[in-house]
Amino acid sequence: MSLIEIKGLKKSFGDLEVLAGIDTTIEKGDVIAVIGPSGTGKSTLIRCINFLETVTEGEIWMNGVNILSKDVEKAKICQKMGMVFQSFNLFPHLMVVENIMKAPVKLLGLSKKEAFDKAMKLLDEVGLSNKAYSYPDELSGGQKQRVAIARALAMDPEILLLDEPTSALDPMMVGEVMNVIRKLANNGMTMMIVTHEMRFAREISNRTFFMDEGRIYEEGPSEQIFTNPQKPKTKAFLSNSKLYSYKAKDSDFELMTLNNGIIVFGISNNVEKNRINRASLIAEELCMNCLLPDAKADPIEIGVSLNYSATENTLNMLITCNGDEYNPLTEKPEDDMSIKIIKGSATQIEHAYKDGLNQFSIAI
Amino acid sequence: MKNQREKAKVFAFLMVLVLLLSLFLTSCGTNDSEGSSAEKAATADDLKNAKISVVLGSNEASLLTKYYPDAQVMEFNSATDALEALRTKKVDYFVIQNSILDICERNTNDVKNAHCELFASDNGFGFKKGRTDNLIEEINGKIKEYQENGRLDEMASHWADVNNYTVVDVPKNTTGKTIVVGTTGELEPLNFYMNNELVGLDIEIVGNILYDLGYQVEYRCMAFGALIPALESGKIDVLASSMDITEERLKRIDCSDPYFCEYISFAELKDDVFDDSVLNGSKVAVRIGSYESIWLTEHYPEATILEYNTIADALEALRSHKADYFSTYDLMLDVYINQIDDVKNLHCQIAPVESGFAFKKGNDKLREEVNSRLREYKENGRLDEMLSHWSDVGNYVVEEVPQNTTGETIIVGTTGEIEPFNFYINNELVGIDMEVIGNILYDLGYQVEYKCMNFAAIMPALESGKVDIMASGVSITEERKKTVDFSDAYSTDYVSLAVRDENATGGSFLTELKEGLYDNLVKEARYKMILNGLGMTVALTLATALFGTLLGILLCLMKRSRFRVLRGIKNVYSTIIEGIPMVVILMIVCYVILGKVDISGVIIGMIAFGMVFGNEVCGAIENGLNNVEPGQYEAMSALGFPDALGFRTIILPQLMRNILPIYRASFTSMIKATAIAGYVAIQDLTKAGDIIRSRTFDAFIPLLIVAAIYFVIIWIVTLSLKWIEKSGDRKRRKREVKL
Repeated sequence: MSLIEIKGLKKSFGDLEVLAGIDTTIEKGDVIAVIGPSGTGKSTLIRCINFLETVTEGEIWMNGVNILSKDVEKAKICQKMGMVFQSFNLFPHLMVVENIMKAPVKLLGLSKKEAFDKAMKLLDEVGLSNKAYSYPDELSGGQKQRVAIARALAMDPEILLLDEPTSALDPMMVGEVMNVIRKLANNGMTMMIVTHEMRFAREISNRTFFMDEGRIYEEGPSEQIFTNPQKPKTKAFLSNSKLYSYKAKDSDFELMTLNNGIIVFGISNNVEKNRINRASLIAEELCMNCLLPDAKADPIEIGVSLNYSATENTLNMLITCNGDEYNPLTEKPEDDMSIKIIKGSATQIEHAYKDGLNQFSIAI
Repeated sequence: MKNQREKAKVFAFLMVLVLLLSLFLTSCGTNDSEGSSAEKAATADDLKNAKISVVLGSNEASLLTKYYPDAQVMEFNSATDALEALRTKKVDYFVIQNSILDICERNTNDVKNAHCELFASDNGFGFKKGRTDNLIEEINGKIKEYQENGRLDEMASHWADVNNYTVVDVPKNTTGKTIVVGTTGELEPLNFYMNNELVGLDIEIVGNILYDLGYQVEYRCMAFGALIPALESGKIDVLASSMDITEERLKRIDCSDPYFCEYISFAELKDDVFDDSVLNGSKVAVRIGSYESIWLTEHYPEATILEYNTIADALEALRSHKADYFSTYDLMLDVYINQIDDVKNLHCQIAPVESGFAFKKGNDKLREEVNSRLREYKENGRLDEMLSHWSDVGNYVVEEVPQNTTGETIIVGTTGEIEPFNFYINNELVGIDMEVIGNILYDLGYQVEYKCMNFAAIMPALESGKVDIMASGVSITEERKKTVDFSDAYSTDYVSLAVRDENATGGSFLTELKEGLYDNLVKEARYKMILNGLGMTVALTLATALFGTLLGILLCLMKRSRFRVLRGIKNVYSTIIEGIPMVVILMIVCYVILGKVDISGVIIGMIAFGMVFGNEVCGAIENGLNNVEPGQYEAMSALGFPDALGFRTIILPQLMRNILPIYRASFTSMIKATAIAGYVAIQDLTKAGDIIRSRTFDAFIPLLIVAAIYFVIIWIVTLSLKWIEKSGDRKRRKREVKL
């Protein structure tokens, strides 16, 4: 019997469908990393599991019990699932140790002494026993998140749900929180963690869900997902490639806009200045001096897209133009100034004619 | 079919139009008919363009507006306030019943009753329109009986001498139906508090009548303007506050036959006319040998004239209580007391004084030349202009006097010591004398040389020819005319008197304060009124706090309710309450919502103030809830707390921390708001102060005492709520976990 089994889970906010059908299981001891672009339902998925969002459709089973059925006491189920929030959500009016003691005393019926001892032990584990009598606003972000983890562990949960636990932290403090989570993973804690820290996700998880458009787009052992993703979106996401595109008809073509767009794209993605200058030079020469005056189409439609992958350090440009087949690289004279510039600036340039479109693939 | 409906519409519209028109015409008509009966010869033309204070809702207001359309009528809540407006010169006249004006005159030293019959005033008791019982007939019967057997006149005589009332105990029934009588309690001698007892002509008459009729009586005091609404809503059965019977009022209420007739007069401030007979038997300080010294000795033989060497010495004699008055010329008096706070110029004209230039006897040529110029200056206004340069003490306009460099030299003798006639500013001899004679001699083509000498030495110098003209503010007297010739007068003044200004000195202020405290607190045990008022205010505050807090919680629950209707009701309620002034809400609760219910004032106040306070409490809770981050609820629920337990243990402590500061502010402003409870006959602290004020005519002490008590109450409340806030702040506590 799986610890958690999710069947056809759907969640909509009004007309917006955030989860479009999730089916999966979580086994005891699993550490699952949930990754994917923003707004694809990662957080919503784990918030649905512990009732922070009401499910629109579908079933969630835990230890063979349908926890969405009406006769289940939801508070009791919650007690078995720890939750760590992006924004910590410590209780500001209670001292650190009281934050941790509160739930075991009130909900598990522990005596104050037992709860206190347990809290101090957990604080020791997260390295904060010296902060037991501090108030949350006296702690740093990393310390707060470690307390929050200790607070969740105090209820002896069967699974720990972590919703972007390091996103609200200074880069300096990310490490201390990761260490705590890593230790938990090594100790066999079942966890489901939404994160944008890819290296961390790959290191601690045994399974990875790549989510896109409200579904689990690709799922598998973490090693396989990170080293050899099967599906194109996963590949693109993991290769960390970025895209810029520009489209215009002849009368609307604005060189300034195009050049500016290319430069801003370059700056924001840390592309070397020299490569970006070459890219904008090629785009200018090809569009202004070759395609716009000579292409056989009315109206002429030009598309420029720029793709940069930081991990592979490649900058590729694709320029398209409608009309009859036309390749200025061959049809224009060898000593044409524009052609010389284009060939000089590109490391590789290919022309193809497909579906009535001239396509120039340029590597820079 | 459609056509018919249209016709019906037009018809209905016309009907409404006719109805409105007829209403308008009737109201105009009543006003006219009222005029013929109500007023008598209005002799006081002075009122025509004046500012006049009256009591809000009184008949005087409408009569004045009608017969003195150009007058500016200002309505005040009580007679006390209207009188105070006169005394602080916010208005020129105060119009009210003659008997009340007598009291004003008695209790103040600066107000006088003109005893002018502006309008006649028939006073009757008021009743709710259309009473089903025959109370009015019973009372009318008694009034008639009292009129016939002379009891009415006898009762009126008890209150006729405003300095010596005859207070006769009014008998009371202990059984029988209770009749509630509404009155102001602030209109001496008609209805007022004496030794904490409500007494007065109105009270004696109505009390006796109701006793005879076998009723029990209960009195309720409220502002005059609130009496008729109270009557209409049934809060009171009889209005007994010397109410004029007018046509307009008869439309709204029923009136008994008149039980008391008098006239409406006006009061004005007394002129500062000085009664000079007081000088006889007083000690007056003057400068030795001065004009005023001679005049006073001659005209006030009984006065002791104390002669001092200098004006300053004479003034000092006054200040050190050696003399009662100090006398010199008005203009100079102003100069001397300019910097002194404890002496004031009475500006009383004891004797006229004219100043002229003196010439050696027989020097007619020069005198005629000077006179002709002086006449010219008088005619073309130059003299007045020159005098005006010196009229504002301390702010003189010094204009350079031109000098000839050729021509015969005229020597002018002066003292150089008599401001503003001749004195030195910046080492220059200036003053009225210098400007007038300097200009005259310039115009005449003479050169001028001034010689300063002792006043007593100038006249011999004149006679010996060392000086041609004496110019030193010399007053023209018959005696002096024997030795010298005078020009025409160039300056006219009068001898005035100065007295010590008792208000300005420290010692007498204390005495006055002591007297004021005695009058306002000790006399007639008036402090009991303050104490009762304080008790009422405290009771009202506590009741309001309880009711308002519960209401606030209820409103908050409604706002957060799942049901749209409840949320809607809460929103409408808040919008209405926030859009209406507190005092209006209070009156609506009293006269409209609870108009038919007979409950105590505390309950009415509690509901009215609580309605507003509750709304604010709701806002405070709402604000507190909004300030608890949503993450707190999520953390609470994720840990597995059931909603109620989580709210109690996690949310509520945070909520309290957010609510208390706003709650405290609302609480204190609620206490202050209760000061208007007097509007609906709740005798709270402020009302108690008003009642005392209506007796003593002293605004200062009652208001100050009331202010001080409010301050202390609010201070205590603030401190205790702050203490609760602090003790709730866990960070201030020792950091330990009790196991």
